[in-house]
Amino acid sequence: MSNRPRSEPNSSITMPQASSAVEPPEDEPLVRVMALHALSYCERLFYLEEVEEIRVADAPVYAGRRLHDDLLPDDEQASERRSWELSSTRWGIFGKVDAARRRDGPWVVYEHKRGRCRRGPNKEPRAWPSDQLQAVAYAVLLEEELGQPVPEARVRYHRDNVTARVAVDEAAREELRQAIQRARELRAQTTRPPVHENERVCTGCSLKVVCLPEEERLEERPHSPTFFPANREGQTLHVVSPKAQVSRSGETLVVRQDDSQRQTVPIRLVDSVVVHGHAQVTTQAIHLCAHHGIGVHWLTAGGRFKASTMNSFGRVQQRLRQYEALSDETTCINLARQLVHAKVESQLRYILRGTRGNESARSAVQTDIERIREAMRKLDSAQSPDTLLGLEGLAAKSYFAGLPQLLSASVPSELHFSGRTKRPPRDRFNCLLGFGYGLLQSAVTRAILAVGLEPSLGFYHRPRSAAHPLVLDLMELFRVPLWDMPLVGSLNRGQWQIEDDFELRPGHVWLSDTGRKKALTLFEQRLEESAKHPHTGQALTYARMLELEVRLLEKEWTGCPGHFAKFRLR
Amino acid sequence: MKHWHLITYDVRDPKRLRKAAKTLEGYGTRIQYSVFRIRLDANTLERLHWELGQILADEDDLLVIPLCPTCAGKVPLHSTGDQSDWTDRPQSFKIV
Repeated sequence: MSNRPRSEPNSSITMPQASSAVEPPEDEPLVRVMALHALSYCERLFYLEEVEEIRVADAPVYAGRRLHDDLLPDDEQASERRSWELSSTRWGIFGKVDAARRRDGPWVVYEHKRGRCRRGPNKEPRAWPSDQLQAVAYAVLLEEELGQPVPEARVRYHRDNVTARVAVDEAAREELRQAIQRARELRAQTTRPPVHENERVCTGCSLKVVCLPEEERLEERPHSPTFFPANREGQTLHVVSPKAQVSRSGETLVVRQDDSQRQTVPIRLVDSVVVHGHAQVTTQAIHLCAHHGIGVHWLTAGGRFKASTMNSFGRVQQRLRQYEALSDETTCINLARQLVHAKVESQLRYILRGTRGNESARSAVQTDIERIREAMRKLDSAQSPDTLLGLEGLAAKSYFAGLPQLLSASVPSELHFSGRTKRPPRDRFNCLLGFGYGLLQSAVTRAILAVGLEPSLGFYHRPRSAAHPLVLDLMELFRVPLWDMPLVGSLNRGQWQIEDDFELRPGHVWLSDTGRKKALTLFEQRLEESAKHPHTGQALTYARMLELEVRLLEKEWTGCPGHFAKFRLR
Repeated sequence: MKHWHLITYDVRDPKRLRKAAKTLEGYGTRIQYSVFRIRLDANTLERLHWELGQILADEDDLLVIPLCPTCAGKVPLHSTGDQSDWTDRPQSFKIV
């Protein structure tokens, strides 16, 4: 059966309330019946799925699909139809009926559900409101298709093995009419509806990791359950070897080095591919990654971010909201102030922490600490991005002036540094610093693309061609905890070899192959370390924290401000 | 929470066999001809089930054995060859 609009049913048959349906305008797309089910469950879920087109299939979703597949086998009997696609321009809906059956009387619509039913006062089985709405919608569709009244719908709950009966009466039709009307209203708006007031509804929702209801409830209910996964799912594949080639074989990525070595990586285990330097990636491999929503990122051998493939269809409403919010200068300057405050405070805290209990080092950095503190005081009254930029620069200068004091006496002088040099880095320390920031940039880009924001529009950095401003903005939050700290720690532990890990060229220093692998390992291990987010109170890995901050940033302009850039070092 | 699963199958048609094997190769490693070792959480297992359900016919068999960490840790004791990766938690990154 097609789901194209059908012609009017035979008018000689009396159709109950056929004319009372709310007729949509000609060009308005039909509403899926499944979407009405979502709407009845939670308006925000409907909006995320139907309007923003963010769909996450979780375990119950797949289990539900399996249930329907198992039911499928069709016995070609006249009195029973299964999996029947119907649509109605009169009602403005379309959908697939699980089954319709006739036994000595009118047709009855069947809807199959995997879970349990609701119980009435005498424990009699009843349908849940959303299931009821869905069943009634199928009933009116069938009614129009057959031109015969369908007075009853049934919902089969497989967990309990019971069937609930739903009467298709005028009250049910009115409810359906209102739901369709509400769906049309929601489709027209660009703002996300608020989270559901009942937090138990969220527990069974497949989109809880995108919607993040617990952050919105942070103020009134600080202890509501948290749904954001603490750890990332997949593996990041770094291709470092310059002769490597990444290709596709079936559902796996194949990485060949030289002619002899060959490794296969199952595609489901990968969460992103990072290509360092000049390794090759075949078009087939890029297609496979794009199909599975895996980003491919290209970095230069020196760690500078070059490009990435993004597979982000839709997300229009999300972007519109971002453009609207970040076109407003007051919003931008407020966000920028929070951001720079967070960055400078993390620099200050790190210097303080690193010199705690070490009198000589503390006295050596005392003037730097004072300067950073002064910049921080002035930050809060800064009114223009240029003032912020100046204060951030002052703080950064003092921070890098104080940073060498954090290196222990055992670190060889070749690894010390005086002042920040970039493009090209002139000493080993700056070389490591720059390489790590490049890795951080690709990690932040990944997080932003995963959330679906537009990286080209930031609130602090000026748009320029070489990098994405929003990425640069968010990086500021994580420079100290994700790279400065592990780097200084590894230097103090003596993990770096002065000769083997670096390549010295006149005027600049690069990492060698072994050095690059060491830096990658250091960064990736840091991403796996957990820290407690002081604002949400949840312990999660830094890899996840990146994504969480992006989501909290988006909430700044989607009706739940005040949670962005609250992460601090302890 | 992810656990090791041992997945084996008997497929009675070469075309379906190839398709099933290809799907499973996307999830984990083939350790013997029709035996796969896959680390999965409940969500991914449901998806895999559904995908295989689309491929396999009624006459084919599928056996999924979930292994708790203790059981998986004992595999090397009773097996030959290199079985070291049963006990380690896989790393979150891979450098080639």
